[in-house]
Amino acid sequence: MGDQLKFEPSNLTQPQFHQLSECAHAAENLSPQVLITAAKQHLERTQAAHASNRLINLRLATAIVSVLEELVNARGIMETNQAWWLRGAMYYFTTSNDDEPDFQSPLGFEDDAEILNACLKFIDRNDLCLNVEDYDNA
Amino acid sequence: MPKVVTPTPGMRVLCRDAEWLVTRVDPSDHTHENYAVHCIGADDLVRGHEAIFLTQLDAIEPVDPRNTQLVRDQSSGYRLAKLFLEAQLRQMPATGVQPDLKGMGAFKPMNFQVQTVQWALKQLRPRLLLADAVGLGKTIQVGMILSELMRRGRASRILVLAKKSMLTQFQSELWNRFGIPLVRLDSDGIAKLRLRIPSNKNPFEVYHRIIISIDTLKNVGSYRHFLENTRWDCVVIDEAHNVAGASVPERHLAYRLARLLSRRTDSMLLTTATPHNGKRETFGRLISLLDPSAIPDPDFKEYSAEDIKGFFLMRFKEDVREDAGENLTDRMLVPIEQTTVPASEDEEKVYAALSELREETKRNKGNEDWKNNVLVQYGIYKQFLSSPESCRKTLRKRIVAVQKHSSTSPELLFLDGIDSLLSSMSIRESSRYKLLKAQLDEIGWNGSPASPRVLVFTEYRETQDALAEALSNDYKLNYSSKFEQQPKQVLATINGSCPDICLMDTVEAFGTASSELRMLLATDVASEGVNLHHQCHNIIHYDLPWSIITLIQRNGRIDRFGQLQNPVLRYLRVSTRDGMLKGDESIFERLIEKVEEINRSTRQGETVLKLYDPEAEERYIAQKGILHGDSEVLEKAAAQSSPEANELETILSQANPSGQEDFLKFLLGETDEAPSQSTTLDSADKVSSRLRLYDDRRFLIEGYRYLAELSQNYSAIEENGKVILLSAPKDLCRRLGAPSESNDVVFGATAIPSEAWPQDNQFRLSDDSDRIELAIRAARNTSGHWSRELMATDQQPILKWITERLLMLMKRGECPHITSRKLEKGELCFCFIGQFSSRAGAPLAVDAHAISFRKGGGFQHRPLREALDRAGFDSLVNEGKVGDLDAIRGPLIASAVEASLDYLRKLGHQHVESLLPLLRRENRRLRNWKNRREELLASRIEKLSPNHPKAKMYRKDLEEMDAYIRDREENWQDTYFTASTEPSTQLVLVIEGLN
Repeated sequence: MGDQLKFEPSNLTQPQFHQLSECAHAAENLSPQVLITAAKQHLERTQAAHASNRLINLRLATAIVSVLEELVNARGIMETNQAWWLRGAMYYFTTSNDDEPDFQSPLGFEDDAEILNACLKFIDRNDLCLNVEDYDNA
Repeated sequence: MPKVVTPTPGMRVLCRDAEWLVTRVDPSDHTHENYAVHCIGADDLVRGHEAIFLTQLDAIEPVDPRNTQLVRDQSSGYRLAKLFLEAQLRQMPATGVQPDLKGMGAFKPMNFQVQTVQWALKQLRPRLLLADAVGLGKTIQVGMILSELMRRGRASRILVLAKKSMLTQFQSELWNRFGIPLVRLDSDGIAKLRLRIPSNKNPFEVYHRIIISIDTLKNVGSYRHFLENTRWDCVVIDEAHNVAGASVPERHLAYRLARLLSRRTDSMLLTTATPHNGKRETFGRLISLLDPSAIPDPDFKEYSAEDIKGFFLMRFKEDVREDAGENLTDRMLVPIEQTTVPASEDEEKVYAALSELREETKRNKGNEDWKNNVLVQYGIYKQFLSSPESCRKTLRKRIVAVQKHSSTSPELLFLDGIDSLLSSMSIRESSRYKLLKAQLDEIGWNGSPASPRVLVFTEYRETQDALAEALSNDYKLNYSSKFEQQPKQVLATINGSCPDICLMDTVEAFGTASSELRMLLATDVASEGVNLHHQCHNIIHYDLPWSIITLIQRNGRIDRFGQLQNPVLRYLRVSTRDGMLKGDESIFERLIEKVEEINRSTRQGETVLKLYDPEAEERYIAQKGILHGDSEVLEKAAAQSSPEANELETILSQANPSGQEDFLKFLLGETDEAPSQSTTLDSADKVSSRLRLYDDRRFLIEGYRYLAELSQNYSAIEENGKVILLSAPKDLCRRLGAPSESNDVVFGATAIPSEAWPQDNQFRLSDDSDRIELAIRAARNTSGHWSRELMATDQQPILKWITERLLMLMKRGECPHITSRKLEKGELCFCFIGQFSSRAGAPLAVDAHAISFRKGGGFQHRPLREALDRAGFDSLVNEGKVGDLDAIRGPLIASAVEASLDYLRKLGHQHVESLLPLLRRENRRLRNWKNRREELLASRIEKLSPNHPKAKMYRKDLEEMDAYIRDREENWQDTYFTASTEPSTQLVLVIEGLN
């Protein structure tokens, strides 16, 4: 598989892939700066919600945002063709009512992390992938 | 204005002008904003009455702890305050995953049993298949888990399903050893009960702890409606392989019943020694009863070790031998040569004829005239190996049948020949019978009262009848074959046609030393589950079933946990000179050796031939071994053609935690995270999480004495050595449902088994587990299952009653106030019991603590025990010093309450956070399951036409899956994880310093 050309992120369930594509379309004309600002705002909302609901996985959300920041700040990544998918993953993060509702499910950010991981693998940045189980503790 | 607080168990509330003690809170609708609040009356008007209030209909107002009125305790030695505090501590639900074995019951806990309880508690909502080998004390483990759940307030509604022959045994074990009262219901009982209650009342909600036979419940369709509307805290299904469902599970009544119950219960325990029959789906179905989200495949055929891990425990004698010590004695097999005799001349003639018949059938294979059945091939032979009587009967039937068909059949020649040989024979003349008598001589059995108990198994009714007659003649015993006479005779027989009640009585008599019964002649009806080991360690296999499974089950009746003598096994054998049949002997010998090998190994007997069915084993041994003349037949697994069984066993052994290491891994959550709970498995060195000021014995005596002083008609409680004698006063009789009380009201929540009721209303209790063990043995010596002395555990209904009565000594919103010279003047110690509940009302964290106040020092939190020790609580005397009540009232109490609530809030958050990894892991598993199932179902639906019945079924599965996930979120998560907004606390004692 390694040498094969990849056209899209793999290892996602059908509905997840479908949602990612939709997000990617929606984010097509948004700049990385706009997306990262939106992501940070979403993190702030998460912090506020976490104060009253400890089940929300704030640690994972924070980790996702720092990975996104790293991507945006890294030279060149957001300019490649593959970045279309990355923008989708960023957009997906900012929507709260996704596959696992961010502020309701104790796994609220698990789907966000999975989608991000799939996109990271797609651009060969496995080093940035998040292991969700590392964030289980409060 | 105080916030509106959700009622939580243990809280006192006002409703309809009366004060109540909340015992349980259930959500009453799907929003989880309304509750059904279960209460027990706590003031004069409603004392002892049970009620359920709905928050949407009634105003339920918590008694605000800030308004607590202090009452000076005027009793000598502050007995009132001490007992009141103790009662408060006793009704505090336990939390955490560590079991507390102290005072749990009368039994010697083995390490592996304690591990089972830890395993169950760690699951939060115990759902476990106990698949330990025959005779390893599965009932004890169920009792331990139930006790722990009761302490956590999570087993007030228990339903036990068992086989009819096991009901009394199960019921009495749980009562004698653990003080868990199960009320037995049969169809008659339910009908009678329904006459006593309003017609729209659900009979299953009257009694709170019920034991019932699977057959009673499954056969009567009319209960379905009631069962669908009943929620249980814990459902136990004994011998659960009976509910695994046959080929068409949907039509299998017992399976449907189990599935219905599994959806209506919080915890579920299944026990069986044979968890599968070699087919993946039977095991898969049992696991899916425990958790529908374990196996993605809707047909339960495809699953991996990972899917079923954690849902079952399977251990063998060899695994626990070190643990069990003297509870597991080594068995002795009397060498087969010593139990072998040569056939007599007459018998040799029959063997020769049988041999010819076999030869002839072989030669004529395929010939139309010889189209005979298994009966002719080996059935008649097997019968003759048992007794001439048994053989003759079958033979004659065959002759009639063949004659009807064709009077010239060549088979008749042989059959008639054998028949004429048999006509002059009887069991009394047979070598096998003479051998039996010789063996009885060896054992020292002669039918006299001094004879040891002997269990004799035979395969056939005719042999059983003939044996009973011959033995009663030879040993001059009165014997009647009437069923109801069996328990009263020296020689008793049980078989499949025996009514359940007679069977149970006979089994009970066989386990009772004082009964006359000396020998039990049993067919294989008695070979599953029943305990025959209490007074017997001699087993004689009169004839040999051609099945490893049957032999293991037979031996398991006396070779089980708790057998104190070495079980002695005898297999009777008659050897023949006949060349052709000679080869069979080595097969029989191998069969016996195999059974002993399995006994010493960590495998199931089923795994030898992999046929999982006694009849299939018999057919296999007969056809492949006896008829083929292959003496190696037992060395090869029969099911070479069935890779499924092999695969299943591999999966099971991978998923089964073996040894301490796996256990630790599981208990710690299988990850490297630092566990929040104590990591030590040895609970002996762990300080009990339950705080007690009195041990069970002192609490029973002093609590009752205090109550007796307040009411005139309580007779005195007596101490007689280790035993405490308590004559139940009228209100206790009523509460426990004494048979003499003809109440209109059924006290179903507190009733004890009527069979356990003492004759003179006098209860004998002890907290010494050895003493109770002796009493249980004494009962077996004299009267049967029910011990006269009972274990004083904290879940024992009598202790529960004392606790509740003591709690009501204080009026609404009152708390005792005492003084201590150990504390500085002006120092105040406010003792609280508070809890943080989940949204569904289950206690997440419960804590007893104290808030000390010193002038200039502010408020300080302390663990209750520490605060009491500082005040010298245990040795306090009442000096009549009044203290300054007025100074304490008002703002001081309010501030102490605030400090207590603050502390509880912190505790609650800590608790939720410590559970988070577990919750996330579990939800991840669930999500994984959902994804895999969706994919699987979608791919299957794709291959079918839209109207295919299977496709419709799969679509329904998809819908059910969504409903299940929603239910999990609503019920499971809200019960164990989501914290309610506010903790609650109760001021239970104030100590004022006088120094």
